[in-house]
Amino acid sequence: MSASTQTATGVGAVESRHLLEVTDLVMNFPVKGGGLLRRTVGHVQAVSGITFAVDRGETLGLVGESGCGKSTTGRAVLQLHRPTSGSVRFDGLELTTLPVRALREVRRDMQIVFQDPYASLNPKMPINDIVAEPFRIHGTWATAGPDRVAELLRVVGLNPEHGNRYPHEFSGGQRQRIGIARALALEPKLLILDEPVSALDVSVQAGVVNLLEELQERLNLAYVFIAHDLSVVRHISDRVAVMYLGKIMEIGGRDDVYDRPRHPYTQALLSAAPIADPTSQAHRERILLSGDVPSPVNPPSGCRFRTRCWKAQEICAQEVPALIPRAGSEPAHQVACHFAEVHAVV
Amino acid sequence: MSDETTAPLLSVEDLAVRFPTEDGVVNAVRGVSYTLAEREVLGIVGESGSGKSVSSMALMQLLPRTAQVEGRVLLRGRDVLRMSAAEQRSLRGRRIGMIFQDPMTALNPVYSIGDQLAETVRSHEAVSRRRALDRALEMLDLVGIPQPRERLGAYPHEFSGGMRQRVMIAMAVINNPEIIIADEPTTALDVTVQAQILEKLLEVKDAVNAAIILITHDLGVVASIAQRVLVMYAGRAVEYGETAQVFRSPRMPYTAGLLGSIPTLASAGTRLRPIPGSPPSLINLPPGCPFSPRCPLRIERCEQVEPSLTATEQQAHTAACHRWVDLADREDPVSIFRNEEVGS
Amino acid sequence: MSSEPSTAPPAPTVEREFTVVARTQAQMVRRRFFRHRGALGGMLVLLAIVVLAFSSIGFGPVHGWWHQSYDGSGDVVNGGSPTLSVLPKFLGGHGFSIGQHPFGQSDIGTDFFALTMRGAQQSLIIAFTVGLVSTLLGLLVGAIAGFFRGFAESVLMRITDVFLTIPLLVIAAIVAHKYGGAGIMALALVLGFLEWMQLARLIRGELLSLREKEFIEAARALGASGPRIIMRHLLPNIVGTIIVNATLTISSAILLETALSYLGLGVRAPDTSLGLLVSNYQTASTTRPWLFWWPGLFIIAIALSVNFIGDGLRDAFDPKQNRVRA
Repeated sequence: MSASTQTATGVGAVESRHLLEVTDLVMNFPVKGGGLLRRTVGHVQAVSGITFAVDRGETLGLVGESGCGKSTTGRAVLQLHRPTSGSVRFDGLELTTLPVRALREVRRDMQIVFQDPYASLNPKMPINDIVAEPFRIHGTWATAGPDRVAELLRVVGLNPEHGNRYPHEFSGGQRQRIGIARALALEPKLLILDEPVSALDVSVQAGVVNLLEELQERLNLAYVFIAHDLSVVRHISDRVAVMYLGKIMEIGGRDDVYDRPRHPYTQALLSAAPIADPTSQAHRERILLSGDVPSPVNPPSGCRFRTRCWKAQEICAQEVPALIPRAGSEPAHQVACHFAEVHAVV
Repeated sequence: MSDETTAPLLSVEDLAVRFPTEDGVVNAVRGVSYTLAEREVLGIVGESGSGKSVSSMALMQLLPRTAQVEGRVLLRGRDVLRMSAAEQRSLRGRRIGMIFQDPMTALNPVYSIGDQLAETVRSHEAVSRRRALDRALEMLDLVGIPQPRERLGAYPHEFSGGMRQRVMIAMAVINNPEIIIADEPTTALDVTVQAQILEKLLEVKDAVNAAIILITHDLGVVASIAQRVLVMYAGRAVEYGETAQVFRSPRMPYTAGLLGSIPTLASAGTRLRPIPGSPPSLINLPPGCPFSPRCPLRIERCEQVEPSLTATEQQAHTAACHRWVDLADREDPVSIFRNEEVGS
Repeated sequence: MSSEPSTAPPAPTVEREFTVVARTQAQMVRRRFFRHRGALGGMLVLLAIVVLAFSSIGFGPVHGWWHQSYDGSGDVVNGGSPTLSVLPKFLGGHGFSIGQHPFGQSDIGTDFFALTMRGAQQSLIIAFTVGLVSTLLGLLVGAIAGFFRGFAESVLMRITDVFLTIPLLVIAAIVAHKYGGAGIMALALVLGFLEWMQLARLIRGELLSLREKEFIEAARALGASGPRIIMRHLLPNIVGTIIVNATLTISSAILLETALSYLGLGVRAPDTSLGLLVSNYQTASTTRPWLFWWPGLFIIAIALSVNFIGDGLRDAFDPKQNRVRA
């Protein structure tokens, strides 16, 4: 277990531990039937055993389409959902077994920024109060005070004089910045960013992405950047993990995954992503996947991608492919496919 | 535009839409003009507040009663806006088909899709239910729904997002329309499904001989299937021309800004170039170009006189900018926006 | 960490971003409410009635300005007919004057204006008490069910369902029969215990949808405790629902009390209420119509005005944004 974690980040011998180490994380949600007693009839296997690590100052991009479990992963790391099984070690501390009180303390070091700029802020609170809340919850308001709130607003590019206004008076991009300010209040080491720019206009996304990059440099933050937009992920990530139906299909350095993808799903994903350049669009290879994403309540046996994969063979249904380096890749680039092969698409 | 010997299929002239609201009158669309030729794909690009959706809803007369619409919309020479209500209704779903962004709300959850498709046929043509269902079956096959005969009786919630969107496409084309208006048809879909749907849309367009107006905020989508593009900002068209040309050599700073703010292969390792500021309020627009407060090339004239679409040095490529020549002189128009973190 | 990032365009851009004047939610609600003419009218009428009812004949230890009392008796003057005249002289009337008994007299000579005012007081007290009790109960049940979910929710919702199937009048009849003489507060409490279910369901529903909102998750991610989330995040967002529902409960309580008293199951002598007055004098409606119509008019006026206020509030709290983004 620890061996694979080390190889995942290219670290050879045992040395300084990673900021975040996730091992065999599993998250199942019960599906309740109807009737008076509402018994559990099945489980949504949202996340089915994933392993990765993130260091300070580094961004891990987590991509995948809807239902792949990336958002659930983010929340499970923060213990907003308690994982069904598996380990989440933050700064050496095991979080899954931590009692609630101790967890509250750890929450200062890891925070989350949400996707929806309209639903992630309490519409009845002025933004000064929204950004001040972390201090109030942890009892540091007396020492931190309004100055710190003003400073945080300035850091994210907002005018502190507008602090007494309400969320509905701000644009989507500005609200997202408020959410970032709130997440930064207690000086966390890790930020989970769950589709932070997907709901924003294109020209506004760039500003928020720049802000996130600058903050990461200044504060040595670790990011888990969850998104479905491959271009943004490519821009901001150091390493990328591609998820499908609750499992990681491919993980490695950014350039490795984008330029030398080895998993068929990654290749299909990259070929489908629209590029804002008509000439390269015209010359690009198109890989069109057939069928639909299977239900996470009843995922396919063996390799979960096999129902849509053009390389599928019998072994794919029988044996779950392990996430290991294959096809001549370096140790840090791992693929879960029996027939992994480099195929440049972009 | 280009010297066409035949009149365009659709010609929109000075379309304007106003809404009275609590805070004042919102000028959602302020004089937009464009043409659509047969079988072509026109992309209308803009961000929120640009007026792109409102302008297409105006074409179909789907706006709320409080909306005031002006201008002319000539479908094969006849002004749609001046038609009687009955005539307009007969256009919708027959000569103009519409595909919406969210198929879950556009499809009625209590009727099977076979019924809904048949209904679309029978509201425009007096045919038997049997014949209408046959046609529905043809359509389901055309859009690539597997086992179409069994699926005729299925309900919308039994389909995945991609499948529902295919059903929407089937509904839009079942009466052989001349124009398909697709309003953000793939925004709610996954990337791989989006690719499938866009392919299918092109196939279907050729099969029924229709033209497409594709409204989207995604420049990548426009680049992949639109031949010509219309860029909208603050209710007006600010650039208009062939997609490849507009993308390669934008002549309006807003377009350049849009292109520059998208992460690309080359942008990794550098900062993106956001467009500073925000789109203006559509209630009390100050005089001059609405983009001027955010424009690095602005001069005094920009704040006084609003530029109209003027011809550039490239054929059939117009831009609404007083300084398009300066933009043309630059090697890389996108570089007019500073490449660093800018607040707000 | 504190250096200000440069903003490329000068200050005007920042100002342009705010398309509306800074307004709190409360201000916006107030603004929308006052634009609703029915609600405004209703508020004025209700206010007038409340002020009139409580100041005219006094309440408790405080004396009113009306010189007659509601429980006196005396000589019946002129058949007890009203001495109020409003028709101006030039139209053939007697000009404007109030006289001794503007609403007339009852059959034992009691001033009917005072009696009606007393009835109005009691009816208003009952209605507002019912509103208060049912709102508190509904809020408690709905909030616990909506927030804690699980077993508590199932149990509470089943209890709510049971209460909903109870026929109100039957229970009221039974209670009134046993505790008829216990006074209006007892009646109000009982009615309050029977009117909370709708609000409980509404609140549970709202909480269920609010819980999914990301700002609640954000609060949890920050380490906020349960009570903090309820007080700071959930409650302020359901205040609108509560207020509107409370208003409508008050309106229906007025009519409910009227119906019960009319049937003899509500307020009983020596207390009085508008419903009781109407009930007592229904037979007089042809011979001495003032005894029937004046209390009836007040019932209608109160119910209607509360309804209009409720309408106005519902519209005012409607979260439709007044910012149109095309």
